[in-house]
Amino acid sequence: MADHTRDPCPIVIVNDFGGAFSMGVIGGTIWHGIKGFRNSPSQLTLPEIANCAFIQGERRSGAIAAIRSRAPVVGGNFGSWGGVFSIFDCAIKGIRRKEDPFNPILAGFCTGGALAMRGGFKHARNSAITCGCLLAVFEGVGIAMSSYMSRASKPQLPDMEGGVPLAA
Amino acid sequence: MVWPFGGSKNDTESSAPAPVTSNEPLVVDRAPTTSDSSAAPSGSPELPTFLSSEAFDVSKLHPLAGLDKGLEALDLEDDALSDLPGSKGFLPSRGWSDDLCYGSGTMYMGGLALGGAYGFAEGLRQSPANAPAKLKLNSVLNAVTRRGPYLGNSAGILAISYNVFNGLFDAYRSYHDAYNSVGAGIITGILFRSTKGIKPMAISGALMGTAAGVWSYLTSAI
Repeated sequence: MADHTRDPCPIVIVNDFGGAFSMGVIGGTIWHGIKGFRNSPSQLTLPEIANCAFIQGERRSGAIAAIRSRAPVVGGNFGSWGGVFSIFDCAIKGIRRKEDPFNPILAGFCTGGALAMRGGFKHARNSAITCGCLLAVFEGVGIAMSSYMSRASKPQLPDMEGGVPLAA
Repeated sequence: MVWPFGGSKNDTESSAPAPVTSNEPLVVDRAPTTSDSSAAPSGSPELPTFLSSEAFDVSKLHPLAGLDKGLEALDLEDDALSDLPGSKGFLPSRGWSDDLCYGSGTMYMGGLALGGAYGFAEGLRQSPANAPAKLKLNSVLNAVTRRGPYLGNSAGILAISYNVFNGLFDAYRSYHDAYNSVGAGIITGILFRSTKGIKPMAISGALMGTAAGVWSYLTSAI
């Protein structure tokens, strides 16, 4: 069962790197913007309230500083995870010559291990098992969702009058 | 009421054995029965040849079905190229999300590779000449993981911002030209240095606008 909604294999690695990086940057901007805003002190003075009610004290500069320093790092982490996963996915597809739910699970296992390699063998092993299980859950949920969605269009035996089936 | 599909038991029992009681034997080998060939239709295929695999040779099917070339990913409907006027360059694209993913992916990977190579050299240079291999490896890895992600992240951020603004301008003006690219580049450069003051913002905006213009010229010229 080949997946034709994605691009063919060598080039899809670039796409996955960029897509995951973009997702991480945009999500990290929202996340660290809110976090930096909430963590900064708000010194309410009367002229500031009069000038602009929604920018208080150090909150705007705190949010911008948090976004500047943190959002690219979140994006980099997402991007390297997605890209390394895609590299392993393509390699496993090339070796096994078939596409089934075990490809992403194996690729997730390898990705978790490779990215945690500098923490030592134990850390890499635990991270690999965690990522493999996570991907297995994703794949299982995906299969369950698709079978649930296709239940509505399942072919049904027509209700014949007298209960005589076709071509008895 | 007569059931047209042969439902009741009496019908099937009376009609099903009829071919067996006829004189025509139901054998596959027809060579000895050529004498009564008038009884059997001469051109009818025998069962084994009909079900053999060569009956489904795709090259014998209608040529317009195109079944002999397999499934091509580029034939799928979702992969239609972008029909925005002026956006046809030498790089195929299916729209702004394609530009965003491939653009930021290329820039991020390129920055990562360049920064990683610089960090590799720096790590080798910084470690003492007579250091053991393990220390050298650690120094190199530290330098690579400091330089690579920094350059990759910066380049990726620039690419994301440029592609988002470029896509916004394309959508707003409903066509693409070099002004969209240059404008997106200038805004990206200004935003990138927006916390450093007016002069760095102007320099960065000019640099990014020039780079976007050169890139736009290259993609449309080739």
